[in-house]
Amino acid sequence: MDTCKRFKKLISDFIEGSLSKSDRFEFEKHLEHCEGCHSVLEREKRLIDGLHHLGHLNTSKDFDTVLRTRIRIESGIGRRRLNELVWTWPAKIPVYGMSLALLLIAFVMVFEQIKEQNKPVIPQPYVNTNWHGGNPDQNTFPKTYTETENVIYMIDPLDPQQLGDGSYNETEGTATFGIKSNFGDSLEDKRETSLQSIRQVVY
Amino acid sequence: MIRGERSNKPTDEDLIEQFQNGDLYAFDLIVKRYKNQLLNFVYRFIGNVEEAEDIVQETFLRVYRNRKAYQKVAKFSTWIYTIAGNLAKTELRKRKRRKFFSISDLGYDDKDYDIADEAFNPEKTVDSNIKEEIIHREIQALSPKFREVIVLRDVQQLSYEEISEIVSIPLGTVKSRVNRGRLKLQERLKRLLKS
Repeated sequence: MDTCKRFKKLISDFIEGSLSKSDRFEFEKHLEHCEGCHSVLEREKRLIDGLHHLGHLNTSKDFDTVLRTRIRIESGIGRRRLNELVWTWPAKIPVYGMSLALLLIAFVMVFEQIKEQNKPVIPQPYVNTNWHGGNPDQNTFPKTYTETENVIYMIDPLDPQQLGDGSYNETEGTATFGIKSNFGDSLEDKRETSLQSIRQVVY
Repeated sequence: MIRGERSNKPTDEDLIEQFQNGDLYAFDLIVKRYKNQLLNFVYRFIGNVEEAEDIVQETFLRVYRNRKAYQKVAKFSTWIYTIAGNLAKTELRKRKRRKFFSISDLGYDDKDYDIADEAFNPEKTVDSNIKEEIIHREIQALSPKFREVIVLRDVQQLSYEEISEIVSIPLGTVKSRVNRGRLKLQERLKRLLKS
């Protein structure tokens, strides 16, 4: 019984001659006395023969013509699509141009914004309103001067007392600062000099 | 080219290469070589000759369109059979969805198809036509996974290796499916195969 099952499982190999010698020998012996397996083998051989000799169909007579037409239509459609693409381009130029311009504007705006954000921060100038000009002892410095600060010393250009040379000591962190003017300048000249100096005293 | 072609003729692979290089005559030769083989494969697989011819047409159209996709590493016959087989399976799936399958669709219809039968003998022809129709119907009654390998092996007479590549299943599975398919078929055709 087991041999019958095994034979059915390997019947194709048996017919096609791809069994090992020992299996082939075993099945040949089995077939000598097993009527059932013998019938299965005979039917299988007839079946394969019948399938091999099934009527062979040929394609219809218009097969080639239909195929060529279909290929021609398809190629034609392909060319037409290309033509449409080429000829409709001019009509699409304003649309594409507008889109491109908008895109450029947006790009520039974003670029400017990024540039603005990356700009170094300049500290606001510190305004000293207690500057009294010529005599350094009278000046008060409410804030210690540092290099990173911008200091504007406000003076009254009409007050001759405030028009004098000044100096500052960076190492000590204190400044005695006056408006530079040349010796012998007239009062008007000194005023002009001091106005210019005020404008320049922004570090 | 599967069999029966002399070696001085260009191989399928030569032809498809020529076609890839723009030689349309090479495509015509491919069509000539394969149209009937494919028609018989697809017809025995899906059971309707008109639909089979449509599928074969579509197969060649795909070869035409995708000629650049073919690479010489695979046999051309395997490639074209795979395309046809996949289209046939798609058709079967469509049918299943439509639930539209009538046994009357099977067999030859009134379209002008040539049946290549040389020695015409009326009695023998009638008898063999009946037998053929019975066998054909029983093939259709097999499930597609058995039907496909049976048609490829026993009708088209392809090697197990070729079938394995076309159906994309291991060689051992092909052999086992062929064996089981044959046993199922002979069981259904017991009476016919007695004589």
